Parts: sequence; structure tokens; C-alpha cells
Amino acid sequence: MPPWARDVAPALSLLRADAAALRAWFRYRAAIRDGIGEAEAEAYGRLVAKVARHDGELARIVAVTIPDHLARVPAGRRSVYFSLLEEIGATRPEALSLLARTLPDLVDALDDEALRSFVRQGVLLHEESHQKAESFLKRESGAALAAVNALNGGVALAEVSRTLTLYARAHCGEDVQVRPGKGRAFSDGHHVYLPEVIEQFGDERDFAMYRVLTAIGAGYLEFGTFDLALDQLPAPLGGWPDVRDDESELERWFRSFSNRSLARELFQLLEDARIEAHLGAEYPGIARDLAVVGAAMRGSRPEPTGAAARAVEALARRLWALEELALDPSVSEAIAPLWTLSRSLGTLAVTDVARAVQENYPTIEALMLRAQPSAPPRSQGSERIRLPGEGATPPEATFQPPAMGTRIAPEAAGEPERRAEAEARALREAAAARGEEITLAEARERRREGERRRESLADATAFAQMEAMLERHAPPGGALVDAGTAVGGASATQATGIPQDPDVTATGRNYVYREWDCTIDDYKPQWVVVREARLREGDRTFVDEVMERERHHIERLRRTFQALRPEGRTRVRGQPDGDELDIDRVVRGVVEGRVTGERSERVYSRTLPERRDVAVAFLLDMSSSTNEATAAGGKRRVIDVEKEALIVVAEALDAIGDPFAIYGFSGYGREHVAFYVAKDFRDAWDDRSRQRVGRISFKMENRDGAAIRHATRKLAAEPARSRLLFLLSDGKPLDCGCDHYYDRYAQEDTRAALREARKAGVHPFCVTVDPTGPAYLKRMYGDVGYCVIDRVDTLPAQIIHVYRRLAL
Amino acid sequence: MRQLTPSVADYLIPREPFYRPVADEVSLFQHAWNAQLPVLLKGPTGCGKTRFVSHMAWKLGRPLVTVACHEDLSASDLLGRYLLSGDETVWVDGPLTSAVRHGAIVYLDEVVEARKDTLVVIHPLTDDRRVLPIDRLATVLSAPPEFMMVVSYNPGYQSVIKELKPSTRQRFVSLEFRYPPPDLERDIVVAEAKLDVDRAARLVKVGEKIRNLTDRGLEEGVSTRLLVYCGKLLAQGVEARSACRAAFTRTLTDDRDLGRTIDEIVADYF
Repeated sequence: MPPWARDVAPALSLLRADAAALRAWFRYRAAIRDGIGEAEAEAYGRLVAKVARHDGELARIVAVTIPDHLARVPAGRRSVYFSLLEEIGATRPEALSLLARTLPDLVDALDDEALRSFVRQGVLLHEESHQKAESFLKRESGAALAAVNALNGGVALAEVSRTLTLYARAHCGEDVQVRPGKGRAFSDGHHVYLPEVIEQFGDERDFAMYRVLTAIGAGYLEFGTFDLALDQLPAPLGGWPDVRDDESELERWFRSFSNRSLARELFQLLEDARIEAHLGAEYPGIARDLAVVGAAMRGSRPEPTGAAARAVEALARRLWALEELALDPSVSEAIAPLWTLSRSLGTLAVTDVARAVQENYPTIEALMLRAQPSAPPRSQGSERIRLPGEGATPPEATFQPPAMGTRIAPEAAGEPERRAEAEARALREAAAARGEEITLAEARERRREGERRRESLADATAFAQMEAMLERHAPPGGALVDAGTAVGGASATQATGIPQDPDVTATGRNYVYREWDCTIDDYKPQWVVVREARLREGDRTFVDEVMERERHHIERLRRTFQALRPEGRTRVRGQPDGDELDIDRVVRGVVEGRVTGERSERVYSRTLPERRDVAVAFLLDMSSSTNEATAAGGKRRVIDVEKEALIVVAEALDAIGDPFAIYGFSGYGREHVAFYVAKDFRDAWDDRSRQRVGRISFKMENRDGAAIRHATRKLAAEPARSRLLFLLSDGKPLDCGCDHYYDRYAQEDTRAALREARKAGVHPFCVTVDPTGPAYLKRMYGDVGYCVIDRVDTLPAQIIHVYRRLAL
Repeated sequence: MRQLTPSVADYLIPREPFYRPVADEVSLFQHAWNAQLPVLLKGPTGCGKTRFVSHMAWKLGRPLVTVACHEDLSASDLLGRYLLSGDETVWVDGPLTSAVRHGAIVYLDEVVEARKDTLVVIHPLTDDRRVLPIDRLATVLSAPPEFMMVVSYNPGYQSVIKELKPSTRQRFVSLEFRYPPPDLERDIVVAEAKLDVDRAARLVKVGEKIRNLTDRGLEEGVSTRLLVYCGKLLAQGVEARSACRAAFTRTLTDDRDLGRTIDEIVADYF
């Protein structure tokens, strides 16, 4: 059967139900087939057709919603995604579009069975209220978290990761971050990786386990595991292995052993025991928790047969105070020195442990060699005997690590961490060359210090460039012109057949604007319909993440903004109370008093600081091209960068109390320019507003001119002395919904709209997040201020700078 | 014309305020006073700056005039102003003027909060002239040798932007304050809160760990003052975790996750 034949049946049923649904389906089907897969495209068609049989309009919504979210579902889970949607489509179709949006995040968090059960609970709630079901399915409500926990059992890392990150930072005083470790717990010296869920006990002990694991992971930093420096250890025969740039000292040290796994296990065991001893001494609470969860952490112990493996296991059991292993005298003897050492671990440093491992490693390795006479020793140019399979674990040395113990895993460090580490080592060597002895930890701190300085220098350079640019664009003045005429109401929306956007609440009024047509050198009156809609509140995670990650930045901006206070003062006279007597008024008052018997009390003058009087609107391009990655920012999408910058700046603006608004725009065709309100001037910058910003996502086209005209209209209605309009876009006005809004026509219209804004007393400023921005920008934005930024992180700083210049 | 100035007795410190020196700050301050030099104290909130000044005022037997600076503080708030009383004007001394008249120690707390143009009035007092010109009285007050100017600020949450003008700053010798070292801080908690040494030591450790979160979630670490508050609650018999929650967690943050972290740190020790 040819591919198109499969499409006939759904197409026909859609055609009978709803023409718009058919159009949407037509548009996305091919995209899904090409981008995701045949099976998915078919499932999509089937689902849309099924829904269309009951409800044409709903089918349309589902047809539009699914493609956006399908891509977020991991390949292996797409069949579950569709089968759940089909199931709910049959029982409660009203919840379908909500599910289509929320499921992609859920399939990651729950296994199939738990997922089905969770979704069914959510759909039950939907019968009560859509809102409740939404926050449940997004796992925002307490009921949802409880349900997830009950289904998963235990504690989910997602719920506690921020608490644990802060906890780890408090312990070790460094900027470590807790991350999910795909079921395992380990630390690379920069991150503490933890299992996604702990469900050993099903009660508060699960959290205690997280806590202990975090404390140990942070303990590696707190008590210096990663500060091991080879020059403080006796060098092996033949010297240390050559330095590799991308390798930590610990890795290099492991490399100096013929059997790395054995050395590693010995070190891990003793080092963990050392950390636990230090933790117990420092934190009585951890010692208490460790006693409770320790047994579960160690797991059931094996009975290894090989002599070396037995030695390691025996040592482990002794260290953990578990039932002892019966040992050969030779094995017992081999571990005796380490056992003796382990009793004073609470006072030792990592170097002592490493030295002890180095000293005792040969005896334990010898146990293994004796048991393995068949393995022919290989000479490698030195007198040392190496075991075959360097790096791989010979069967003899296999040791079962504790079921839940944290591992020291410097090899897990990512590329930036490795680079940082190499730089720190270089700093340390440079210091040593100057005759200055610093530890690795101090070198790391110096490196960070330098980085901070460089960052602020980069900010300063960006500032200077912006300053110079602004000098060329003096703020304009002018009179208000007719911005547009309001027409129609929400009813127009229904008539147009444009699918209801799941991201907005009820659509507001429609507005009609003119448009500049450069081909006729005139305005086309009443040409474009702008439909204003309020965004729904979205997911918190985006906003929370930004606020957490950009914490320092926000704080710094907030202070910068607070410092933007105007220093000017005005003197007001005739006050009942004040700094100084106003002699003129005193004299007048006395005279009046003599004449009339009544005298004015208002004889003081006082100085008042000047207040800034400014309103600012941010207008965000939400067209599909903002879904592209930024050229400089790696994987990050333009739209996310814009959102992030907005959140940061909004936090700062809120701190000084200047009124601001956040709008987005997209649309398709001249009758459907969508204007999204995330925060209006009258809205408070609260969690709801933040969540609405979180909801901003890329949509369709961008007809910049109309959106600028509408934003201008809204700004002009604000009673402020200066009004700023920031246009954040990719610099490519384009509306494929009509056949001429591109290239020159679109640019000229944008330019005209900006000119109108200036005349209306609004200072527009355009920020283009794309260093490869097109060459016509200068022409398009030419007579208003604009900038093209390549480093997205500087966006907030740039905005502030413009703000300082224009708002004061 | 009448002139009003508060009586000197109002500013004298009757009993010795408890203060444990951390380094050589007591002798430095004393020498600065002998040499008639103004002093700038900097350090985080609640680390003992104000207490130190009261202690020194008591030790030197001088009255102490404290002004908490704020953004709207004006020069006449410091110098004084005319008020109307019936048909006549009455001059009322501001704190700075009365401090000069009484040869007191004047302490401008959180001095960066005041606007830079306000602070200019202290300039003639803080160089070798040691005079206070008051235009509106048409007089120039000469500061007696006992008079001393002390200002404080907190470089932690003040940014580089909110700084003293160099012309103001360079009129002072500066003493830097930090949270006291653990043993000393423990002794302070023991003495101030009348708490046993063991629990005081644990409180101090909790404080140290919470301070690790400074700039990693918290704007400022927990102050010695808060440790003492918590110690006082403990000494009253309040259960340790709820005392810490009241004194640290709820005071330091409104953030739920961060609050939980602080609770967990407390649980590490209690």
C-alpha cells in the first residue's frame, strides 16, 4: 500500500468532521513522518481521525497540539504515549489536549504501569476541574507529588535535589551541584550524582539515605579527596605516569598501578571509611542516620572465592562492622596494616590513605598473582609485573561495591570541569615556579577568582560598546498619533476557524491596524487584525531553574537597578513639616496672623529625592524561527535565551518598582496576528506572572509591524513620563500566512511601525539575538536604537544599560 | 533665640557592654581616639560592630550618639533645624551637633545608606580642622579632643555601586570585622546566652555551615547575633530544632528548599 493510501481513511473522516482539523493534520502529518517516524505519523492520523468522529473542533486542537509535544517523548515511549492518548480519547476526550502536553514529561518519570495509573488518577480529577487535573498532571500539586511517590515508592530526587544541592554546598563550601546519576551515586568532584529515586524503606529513611549519600559526596570535597597531589606521595619505581592534559591527579594516580581496579577498590574503601569517620566526628546527625541506613547502603555481601577479592571484601566488612569473613592467614596478614590504619582514619588526610594503598597494594596483588599462575606475566620495559588487560578487571579482583555507596569518579567530570582542573594545575605550577607553595584547592579558588574578573571585564566592554552606540541615537520626542482602532470582540475568533491555542486563556479584544506598503508607498488602512490573548500559567520548572541558575546575576542586577536611583533632589515649599524654615513663608505667616488671627502652619520646606517615571514593555518575537539554536549559545534556543533574559530583567525591574509589561507575538496571516500577554502593566510580578512567562513558546510567523503598533498603543496609554519598548527578535520579520510579508515589504513595514512608535512618544529599542543577523538590520532599525548581540548572557546587562540611558 | 540640645547624660553608657576582642581592634581604636582620628568599621551584619562601639564608648567614658543612616537622611537631620514655637524660632540640635558639643563619640551606622551629598557635612569634622560649620546658626563649632567620628558599613550586601566616595572614605582609618573564629564565637554565645559550652559549640558549627551558603542561596550568612538569639531560646529550654527553625531557618529565608536545607544542617548537629 503506498503511503498516501494509508492517509485516505483518516483524511476522509476528518473532512467529514472539520475542514480546519484536516488542514492541520495535513500540515503536520508529513512533518511527523519525516522527522519522527512512519509509525508515529500513522498513530497520529488514527488518533486525530478517531477524535474527529465525536468532535471536530477537539480534533483540530489535538491535531495542532500533538506535533509540538511528540518530539519530547523518547523514542521508546511513543507507543505508550499514543496508546494512553487513545485510551483517554475514548473515555474522556476533553482531557486530551492537556494530556498531549503533559505526558511527555511524565513518561520520563514513571514506568508504564505507574504512568497508566497516574494518568487515570489525573483524568478522574479532570471530571472535577480542569485546573486541578492540570496541576496534577504537571506534578505541581501536593496530591500529585504524593501520588508519584506512592506509585514510585520512596523519595524522588527531582523533589529534593535543590535542597540537597544547597545542603552539599553548606557542607563543603563549594559550588557543587546535585544531578541525577542514572540509578547510581558518585561524585566527580564538581557534581554529586544521586539515584533518581530511593525506595528502600518507603518512609523518611529514604530521605535519610539521600542525605547520607549527599554528605559523603560533598565529603569528598569537604575532606579533600580530590585534592590528592602526587608530589606529596612517594613516586613509584619508574616515576609517575606522564601528565595528560584532560586528566585529574586522582586518575593519574590510579594509572600508576598495574591493576587499576584493585587499587581503585582499595582506595575507595579506605577513603570512604575516612570520609565516614570525618563526617561522624563533625556531624553527629550523619552518624545517627548512617547507623539507620548503613546496612541497606551496604547491601547483602557476597562470598568471593579468589584470595585478593576475599581480602578486599574482608576489609570492607571490617570497616563497615559487618559479620567477618573467614580468612586464610596469608590474606589476613595482607590486610592487617590497612586495618590498623583504618582505626585512626578520623585524623588522616587523603595523602595518608593514598600512601597506605601504595604501600600495601603489592602484597594484595601478590595474593592474586599466586592464585593465577596461568596468567603469563608480561614485561613492559620496567621490572614491574603487569597483569593482562590493563584497565579491565581481572576476575580475581572483582569486588562488589556497596549497594548504594557513593563512588569517587573523577573520570565522570565533563569537558569544562576538566579544562578548569587543568588550568588550576597550571596555576599551581606557575606559583611553584615563583617559589610559592599553594594547594590544589587554593589554585582552584584563584582560577575561579580570575574567571569572575574576566566576566565582569567582558560585561564592562559590552557596556562601553553599547554606550558608544547609544550616543548616536538620542531619544526622540514627538506627539501622539492615531495608533489604531479597536474592533470586534472575542466572537470574531470563533468565526475565523483559527484553532483555539492551548497556551492561552480566553482571547481578549481584536484590534485593527494599518500597514505600510512600500510597493505603493502608502498605508493600507484597516489591514491587519491583532488578537490579544492572555497566556495561561505554565510550568514552574523553567522559571525556577532560571532563577536558581541566575541567582547571582539577578542579585547583581537588582543592586545595579537599585543604584539607578536618580540622585537629583527637588525642594518643595509650604510643608507642615520639613528640614528648614522657609523664611518668606514664616514672615508672611506672622503678618497674616497679626492681620487675620489665623496663620498658616505650612512654613517648612523639604527636599525630596526625584523619582523616576518610566514604563517599559518587552515585546518578544515568538515565531517558529526562534526555535532555532543561537549561533553562539550552543544548543540553547533563541526563545529560551530571550525568556531567560526577560525573567532576569523582570526580577530586577520589580525590585525598583518601575511598571513593566511582557508581551509576545506571533500569528499567521494578516487577520491573525496573535499578541500574547504574559504580564500587563497592572499585573504584579508574582508567581503567576512568572509562570506565564514560562509558558512563552515558539508559535508560527512574526508580523513585527502590527505587533509593534499594538505594543505602542498599550504603552502610550501608560501615564509615565518616558516609555520604553524593547523588541526582542531574531531580526527577520516574516509572515508566510500572506504572500508578500517578507523581505523588503516586511522590513519597511517594521521600520514604519517603529517610526510611528517614536512619534507616539515611545522609545523603541530593538535587540536581535543573532550575531549572523542579516545585513539589512541597519536599514530596518536604522533610525531607532538597536543592537545585535552574540553572547546571549549579556542580554540582561545590555537591557539594563539601555534602560539606564533611556529611562533617566 | 532659644537653642535646644539633648542632655549628655542621655548618651552615657552606664554598664560595661560585653565584648570579646577578636584581634587588636580595641587598642587600635583607643589609639585612634587618642590621635583624634575618625574610624570606619566594616563587616557583615550582626558581627559585633555596634557592640564594639558601645564597649569602646564605655571604656573611654564618652557619651555615644548613634545615627542609623538611611536614604532620606538629610544634612539638617544631622545638624539640626529651626522649629517654630509661638512667634519665635527655636533651634534644635541634630545628633551630630550635640555630639560635637558634648565631645561624644558619634556613630553613623550603615553609612553607605545615606546619600553622598548628605555625607559631605561630615568632611570638615573628619580632617585636621575638626570643626562643624553650621550656616544656619552662623557659627562654627570646634570639636573638643574627646570627640570622635565612627562610621560603619557592610560590604557584603552593599555592591560596588553603593560605595562611599573616595573623598569620604579616605578620611578614616578602617577596622575590618568578621564573624569571630569558632572558639571565640562559642565563648560569646556561652556568655551572652548563658548556654552550656557543648550546645554553644554545636550552634557555632551550624552557623559555620550556614555561612557556606552565603552567595550560594543566602544573601548573608547567619550572624553572631542570631546565634546568640538561638542560644537564648535554647537556654530557656526550647527544643533545639524548633529553636533553630525560629532563629535561623525562618529568619534567614522564605525559600522552602533552602529552609529545608538549613533544617537538615541543624539536624546534622542536634
